Amino acid sequence: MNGYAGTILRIDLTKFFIKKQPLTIDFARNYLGGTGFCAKILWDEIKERIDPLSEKNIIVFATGPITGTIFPPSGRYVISSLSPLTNIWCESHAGGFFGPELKYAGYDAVVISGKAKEPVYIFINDGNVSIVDAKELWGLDTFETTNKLLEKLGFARVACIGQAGENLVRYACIMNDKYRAAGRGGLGAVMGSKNLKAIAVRGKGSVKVANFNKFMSIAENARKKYTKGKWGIAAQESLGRLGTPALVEAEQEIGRLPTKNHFTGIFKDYESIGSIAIKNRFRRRRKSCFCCAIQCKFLSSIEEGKYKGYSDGPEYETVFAFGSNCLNNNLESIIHANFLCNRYGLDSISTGKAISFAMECEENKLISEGIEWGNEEKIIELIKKIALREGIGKLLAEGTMRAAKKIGKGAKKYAMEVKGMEISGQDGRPHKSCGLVHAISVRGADHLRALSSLDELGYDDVVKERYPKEWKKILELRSESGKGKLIVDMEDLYAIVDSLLICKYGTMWPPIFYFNDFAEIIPALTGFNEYSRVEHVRKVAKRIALLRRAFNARLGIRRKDDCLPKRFTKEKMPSGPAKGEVVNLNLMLNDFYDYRGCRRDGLPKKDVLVKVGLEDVAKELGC
Amino acid sequence: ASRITVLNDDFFDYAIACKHCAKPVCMDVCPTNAILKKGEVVTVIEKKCIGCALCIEACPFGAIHIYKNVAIICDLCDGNMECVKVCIQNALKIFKVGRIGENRRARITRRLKRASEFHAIGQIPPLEVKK
Repeated sequence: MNGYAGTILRIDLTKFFIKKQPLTIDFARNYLGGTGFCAKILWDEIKERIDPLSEKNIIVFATGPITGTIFPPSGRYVISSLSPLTNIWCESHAGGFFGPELKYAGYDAVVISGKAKEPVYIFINDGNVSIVDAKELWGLDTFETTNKLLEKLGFARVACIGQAGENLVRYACIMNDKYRAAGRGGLGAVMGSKNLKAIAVRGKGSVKVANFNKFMSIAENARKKYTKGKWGIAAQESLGRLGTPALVEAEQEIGRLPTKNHFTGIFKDYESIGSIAIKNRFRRRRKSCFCCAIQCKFLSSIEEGKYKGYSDGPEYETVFAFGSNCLNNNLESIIHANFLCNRYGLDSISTGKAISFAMECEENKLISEGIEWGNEEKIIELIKKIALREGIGKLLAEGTMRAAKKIGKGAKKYAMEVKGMEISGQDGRPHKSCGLVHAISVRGADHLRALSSLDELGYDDVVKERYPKEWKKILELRSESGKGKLIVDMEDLYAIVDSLLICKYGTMWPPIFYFNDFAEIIPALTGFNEYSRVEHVRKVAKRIALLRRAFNARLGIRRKDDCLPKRFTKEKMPSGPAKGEVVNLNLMLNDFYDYRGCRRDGLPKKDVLVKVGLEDVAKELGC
Repeated sequence: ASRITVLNDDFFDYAIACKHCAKPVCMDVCPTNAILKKGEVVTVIEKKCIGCALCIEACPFGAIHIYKNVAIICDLCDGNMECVKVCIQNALKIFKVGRIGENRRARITRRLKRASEFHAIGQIPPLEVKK
């Protein structure tokens, strides 16, 4: 099958049962891959609210048609499951080399169910799949696990969990290739609950494409767009040269750098934690994911002192979470925090947010643990405590929503979360559409499902081209009108991006690829000729986006859950360029639901579902 | 399967492909004479190959794979190297054996020349910085 490996691997850890299921052409045609596959599989198998850490939950590793081909950012894969942090849909994407290797081994998706009695790891060597005892790996961190497995297996790509995943920290992540994290949503805890320590993959196969010559020229063009021209040069200058921490300076400028647990949007010491400081002081070498043309990854090391060590990153989200968010201006401690999070297997955004939540509770005398703002030693100590569930770490490891409930006494207003997931490194008050994105995103407060950089950075030529009627409204950064259409369009676009599985760099920023590019890529890659019509690509995008939404709706997610913390909707921004702004969410939500094809209470409409070919979904939802 | 492999770890990324040796050992050990040297290029005659993996054992660089029971060796894409074209960091280049020596000699000469210039004015030359 062109563009696909052609097999879905099913592993039941309770019965030690391995089954290879052929990928049907209709399934591939309708759901394309990646998040589309995950959405369909999860929709079919999880029909009601269950405990995400019980053996009833399943975890899906999926690749898309582009994964493993020569198209520039093709190293990504997706992990999806019911999240222990939010109890609803969760998908988490990661780069590196694991995804392509999985596809070369011959699998489009791996579905893992059940629960092993004792710690195991899975070794996939092309056609041979084995479940191996992992007692000696249990209790090791992600680096040691990867190194031990590499020693044992020779050459392999490893995705594993650290101590945080074993201890069922609700925001533990899965690390692949040592440094690439499928971070958000606590998928590491799901793996830990199944007693699954790691998955090692070795694949020697290849991916066939439908139209080789056309696909090669498309890939060549894409590479040119990434390295030359207006967008290419901009991408190389910021992402290539400085990596994602370049955002620290950019966000500070527009007053969106979350500071002091989202109290404000500007941080006075931003320069000491910014990208230039990282580059000059600690950055050692540039790295890259599989087949990438931007190459924004880098390795940084601290040679001496108490924070000695080396690790990839830190990325922007980590810098803000342990830096400005905790009022910490010590860069070495941030790099060490990143290093610890990688080793224990913790999501650095949620960890940073849990710590800043504890700091704000301490300030308001709700807890007394001696955690003041900006105390870098406490931050490092807390990371260890959270990963090992010791002392106050036991409380924080449950996530801010649950911790706030346990503390009580109004701690809820310091928990910066939506649907249970901690808010990522943006702020809705200076950038109104971003507030909407945090509220409506299917996996909780998250920027990667629908965030738009078009209005944020004012790319008027792109906006005019894409939305010829509404461009004026969309370009107004601080106004609530017209944002529904923009965000629905972005959610659809990212649904396709997450299904093909290319990087957000290239679609979110710089805005290079759009539906018409995908209408060219997909037929050349898979031979599905109906995708050469842009309307069809949009229809499939809508199908995937609505199926994820319907999955949540079946679990009882409605308008009341699409909300923001009071800090964003009631407290005015105290300083910075966006002084005095709040998010007027209801206005934007109505707009969003109308364009999304949902009723005003958040449930997808029947005729919209039927139109995109989801009749059975409409029937089951009973809308 | 790809004819070029990248190995990577924390501090290195290293691309491994056939070096098209002047006296290929893989050719010597092949029991069916499936590996030949056509001009400068080591080639596998896929019909003759029996997939015995002796060449993998023999290759000092680990540049050979077996895929679907046939030895896979870099064939230089018939002179139109795709990997060199797509390498955006210009880390991959193609040289004839003679050119590698020439380049090395030229580099040393440049360094000596610079040193002698500084020596003439009585200064220690600064270290050559890679761009």
